[in-house]
Amino acid sequence: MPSPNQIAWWRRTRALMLATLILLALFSFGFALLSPLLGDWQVFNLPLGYFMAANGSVVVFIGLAFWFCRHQERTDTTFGFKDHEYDEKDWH
Amino acid sequence: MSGLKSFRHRPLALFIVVTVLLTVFLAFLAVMEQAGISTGISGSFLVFIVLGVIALIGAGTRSMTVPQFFVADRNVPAVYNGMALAGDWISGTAFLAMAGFIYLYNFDGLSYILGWTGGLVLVAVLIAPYFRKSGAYTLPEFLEIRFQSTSVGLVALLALVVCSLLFLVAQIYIGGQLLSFIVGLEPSFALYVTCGLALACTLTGGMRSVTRTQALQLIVLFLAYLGPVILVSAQLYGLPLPQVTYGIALKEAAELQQAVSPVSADQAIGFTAPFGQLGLLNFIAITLTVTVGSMCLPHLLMRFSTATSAYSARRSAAWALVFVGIIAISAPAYAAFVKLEVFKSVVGASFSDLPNWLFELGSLGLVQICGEPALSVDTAWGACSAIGQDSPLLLAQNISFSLEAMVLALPQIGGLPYVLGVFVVVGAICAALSTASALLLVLANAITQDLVFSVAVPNAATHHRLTVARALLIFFAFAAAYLCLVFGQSVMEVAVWPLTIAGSAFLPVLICAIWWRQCNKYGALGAMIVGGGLAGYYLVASHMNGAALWFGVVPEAASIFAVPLGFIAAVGISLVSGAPSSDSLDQVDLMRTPSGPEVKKEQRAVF
Repeated sequence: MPSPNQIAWWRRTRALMLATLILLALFSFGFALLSPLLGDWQVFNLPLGYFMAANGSVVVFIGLAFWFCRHQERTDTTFGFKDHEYDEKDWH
Repeated sequence: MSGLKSFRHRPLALFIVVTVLLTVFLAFLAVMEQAGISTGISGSFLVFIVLGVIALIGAGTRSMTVPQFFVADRNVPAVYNGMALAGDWISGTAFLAMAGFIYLYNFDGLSYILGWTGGLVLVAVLIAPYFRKSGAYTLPEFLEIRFQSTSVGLVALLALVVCSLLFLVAQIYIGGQLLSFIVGLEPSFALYVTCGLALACTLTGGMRSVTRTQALQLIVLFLAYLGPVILVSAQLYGLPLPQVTYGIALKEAAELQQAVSPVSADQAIGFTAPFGQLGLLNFIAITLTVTVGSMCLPHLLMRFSTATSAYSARRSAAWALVFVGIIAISAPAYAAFVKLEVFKSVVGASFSDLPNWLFELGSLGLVQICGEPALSVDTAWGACSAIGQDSPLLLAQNISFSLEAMVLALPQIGGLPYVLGVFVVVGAICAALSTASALLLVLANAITQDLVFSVAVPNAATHHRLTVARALLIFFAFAAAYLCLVFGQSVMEVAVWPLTIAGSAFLPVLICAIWWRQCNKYGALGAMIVGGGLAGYYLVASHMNGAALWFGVVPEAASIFAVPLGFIAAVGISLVSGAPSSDSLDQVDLMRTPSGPEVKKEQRAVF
């Protein structure tokens, strides 16, 4: 059976997972599906909906991936499951 | 090779050094071209040097132990692993066809970009760290460890072989075609050369050499994809940022389209208007299929097993997304610049004024005029008069491009030096090779680990495992070349099937395995059989027998039906058939916890 600490860590991890998924859905489907309504706004000579689907969302995804990594690492450290001493040593 | 070793921990320095070397080399060849050296010679020189160096580095890396061969000793740092993963993620098909997909379907084609990049975020969140922590080498082994069931592993292995082999054949075919086009080799010989190059990256060093060659191939393909589009953007609008300028190109193309063939006002916004061509449902279905497919392709998941830790597996995915994302946001620019040129000098032009690049692509079978490959002005004219299209001007509906045409056409359209056109082809070959070598390796590794040595001979010695894996590598390389020769062009028709099959068969089971403790082995089996079976049925039935489409969803987007059904099967069967064994539950808890040793029992990897 998982320890209480593990259960609490898992709860936090799951919440972070859901938050990331919601943000991802918003920027992948959300903007694309709303794009018929965003027709008049222009970015770089493109309608906002098109710009978000072609370029904007991808840039958000990159940010989101690193944001997720940072938060998950913070959660792991808080609950004592830090596993990346080796990598940090490896890097600097 | 010791030089590369010191780059292990400075992958960005490696990136810069290779970039500078390649730029100098390309500039040198461009100058030679000006000085009158035959373009054929300089082009072949470029191909041999780039592919030769990568093959030598691959072949010069040796692996002596099982962990070295199968998981590169699990010591690949995150950025470096991310680069290799990106090289793996960007297949030859994606490199060539993504821009074409956007060219053909405009806004609706962007679904591919969204799925392709979104999948990388999802894999970091949902699968990668747990896959790494399990200690499995391949996907079937992961499921076998989680569910403590050999039969789950074997069913997964079957799905893995189907989708990896289909994917491998397409990559080898692309590599062979491009190689024969650029160096003038005979097509069947070029296929074997491609297989040889892929084997050079895998045979001696397994995962260790693939990690190195994929990172290098990523740099080459990255520069090859971005170079021409940046130069053309600078040429057209004085700003080397294609992602910013292509909006202008699309606007100009729309105006030209209006001038050539006036259409009503609501069609005039066609290039950027959403859901005009594939429709809203297909947009969602394709995005979903590409997302889940790229999350679950076994050769991509295998890359996470080389990361140093669960932490590093997450970071690898994030770093890979940097490279994949930059390629993805450049693809619409390729489509836009080619579109502008097509409306400038192809559509509405008289036959004798058609540009030369059209016929060069036509000789590759990538451009058709009036239903026939565009080989010369005469054949184009002949084909059009044969079907009664005797207008002296080429009409928009009489010309059709293959998906692969855009990326190959742009350097010529921009009037860039010939070597840059060759460089793009080299980039595409690298994309195909990096994916092909990973596919070879995942096939060989999975069969060695999950069939031969887990079911048949559990306690085999290291050298037996390596010998079997190497024999399988050679077998699959030749099998792929043979299938290419037998089926020819038609292997490209099934090039995206692996994405559909992998997502449908593996996503429900992978998500349930990690995120739902109560999932048991019967649920896992049911999910794979239902999901994979439904996707396979939908693909085959609509392709071979022309069966009716469900709600008009294109066959390749079958995951929109298969994934929900797979989840229902996993949940339903697991609930009916009772709680999973306590052994299996222990595996889940261990797999989720990021710190501590791997789940996999050590004796499975005999040193």
